[in-house]
Amino acid sequence: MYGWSVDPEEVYLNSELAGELYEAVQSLPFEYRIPLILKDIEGYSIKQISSLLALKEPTTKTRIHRARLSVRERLSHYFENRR
Amino acid sequence: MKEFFKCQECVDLLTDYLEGNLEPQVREKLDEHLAGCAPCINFVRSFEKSTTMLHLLKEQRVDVPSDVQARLKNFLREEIVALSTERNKD
Repeated sequence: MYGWSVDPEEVYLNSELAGELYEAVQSLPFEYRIPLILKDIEGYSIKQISSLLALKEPTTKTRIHRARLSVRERLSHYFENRR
Repeated sequence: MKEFFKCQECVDLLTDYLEGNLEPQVREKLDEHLAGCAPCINFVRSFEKSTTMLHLLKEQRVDVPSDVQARLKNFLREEIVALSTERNKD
């Protein structure tokens, strides 16, 4: 049960947004999706991800950056409506 | 003559900018651009927001291919072994 201090609209928006985020991440190509999941969701370092995926560190960073740009693009309508 | 960043250059540097990985002079140039470019400011804010919100997915199931899961487990096992070897040296 939520306390009085929690805004129900905010809770709803967050759950709705989580669904959209999930779709945005799942729609990424494999080579971008996995580094993004490991970095921003699982919290691994660039070094660890590069080692795990056998990538050079600059490649890992570039893929994560592009994946983040793509996720932002997918959610751009959300930010425009909230501005 | 002073060189200014173009919007695309700012976009290219956003991850390094937000993670504090830029050289001071590059960061300064980017800050100068942002100070006079409202669309880029909005872009930075939405980029930062969408990136930080990814943690919401931590609670949800995100499919990771089985071969990556297996490599992840091996990788973590090696990390643990390396860590315990390091500790045993002390």
